[in-house]
Amino acid sequence: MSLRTFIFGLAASFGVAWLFIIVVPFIKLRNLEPIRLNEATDGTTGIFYPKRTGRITNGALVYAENGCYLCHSQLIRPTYAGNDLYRSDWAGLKADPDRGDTRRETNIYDFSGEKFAQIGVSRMGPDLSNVGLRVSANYSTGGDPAKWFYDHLYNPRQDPKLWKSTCPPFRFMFSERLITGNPSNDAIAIVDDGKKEILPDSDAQALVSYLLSLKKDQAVPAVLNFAPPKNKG
Amino acid sequence: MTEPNSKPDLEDSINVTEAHAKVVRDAAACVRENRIVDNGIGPISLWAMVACGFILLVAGGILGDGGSLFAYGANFRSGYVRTPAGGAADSGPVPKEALVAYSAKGSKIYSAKCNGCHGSDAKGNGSTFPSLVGSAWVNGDTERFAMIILNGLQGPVSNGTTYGVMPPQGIGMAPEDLAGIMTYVRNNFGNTKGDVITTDMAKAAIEISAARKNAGNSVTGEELTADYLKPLPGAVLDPKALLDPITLAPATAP
Repeated sequence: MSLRTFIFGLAASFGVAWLFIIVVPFIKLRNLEPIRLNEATDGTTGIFYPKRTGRITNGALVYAENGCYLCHSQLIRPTYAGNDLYRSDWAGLKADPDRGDTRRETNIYDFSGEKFAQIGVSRMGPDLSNVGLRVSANYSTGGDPAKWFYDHLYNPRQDPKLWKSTCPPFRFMFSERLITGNPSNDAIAIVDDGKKEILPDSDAQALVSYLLSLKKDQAVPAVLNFAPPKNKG
Repeated sequence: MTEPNSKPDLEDSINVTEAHAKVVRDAAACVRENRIVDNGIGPISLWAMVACGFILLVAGGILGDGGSLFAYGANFRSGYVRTPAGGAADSGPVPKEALVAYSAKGSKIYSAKCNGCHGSDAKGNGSTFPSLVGSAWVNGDTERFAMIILNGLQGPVSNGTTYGVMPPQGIGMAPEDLAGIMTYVRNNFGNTKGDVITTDMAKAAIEISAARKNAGNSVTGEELTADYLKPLPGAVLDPKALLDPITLAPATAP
């Protein structure tokens, strides 16, 4: 066997696999055709194409830079592949006051337009597919969910419900500032006998905007709606 | 020494016994060496083949069950329907009363199709666009009202005044849209008919409208009075019946 044949064979055996398992799916998933919603089956019109813009997009980058995906997934598997769907409010709210059960599987459109599909590496922490929805409904009841997120990033064990949290604090995203005049409205805490305030930096603001945007409760087109017939909707 | 081949056989210098013994020794060594298996070129033992075959069998079963390979378009298993949660925890959308559910659909269509002329308060503008509030034709027989929406209207309206020509709205209108808009207008803006125009009634209205004699032209007051002065066919729905707010199918309370 000549070196030429060997190199050709090596390239072919790895190249074909790379082509069909990486390249073709990449191109196909990169340019998703949005699905049109219709009033009769989906209850709304428009297109199914969740879009993120502005600070939320910046927040997605902060999420990636800080390795949140190492512990947090954003993937609710269909029921034949796991039990994520019925874990406490991971996949949506069990009893949304208006829409009833909003729990659903993650589909590829949930990641459309994103630089990274943050499906996650491990589940040291809870799934974040619907963390924006969950925090407003369960944790920051009555309060500002953004404030709850800032507190949580500054000290993940601050909420008594989360005393066991293993999430590392992200204090480097906050800065201390001497108060001159009135404290800022954005201050998450006043320290040093009222002399200093702790303020979220732009990274923290972007990240919290992104986390608040993680709500998968919009109407899904009938082709992606796998609810059992009696609950279809 | 001379060349070995140049010597004749069985010379004195050759000890036949010794030479024979050497050949036997070498042959024995060869036999021994054949039994030594070099790493990597020995035959695979049967139990390893069976074990690998078993693993391949299981893996193939799992792959085959997961769907066809390289089906890039399919992101979910075909025919997948979510397994319901145990107990009564799994509820669909909150059922709504029929009147509320139909009106909610209708209000969307109203803002898309009717709002521009009749206004967000349905009072029109008094000169070109008539008011829908308290109108005899809106609150009267449902078939007449449906014909006006589907085909548009020209000539004098119920109070005798002639407004502008209403263009037909029926193009591309689904039965649930028509049912929603009729229910919405008859139960809002001060109109309180309290009845629900069902999707079945609206379906019938669209069929009746398609079978009109002079289809394509807006209806006139005379035509309405002559042909369409009756309620739409179809079973009457209790306005308080609980419906699925999206599909408008009957639902039961959670």
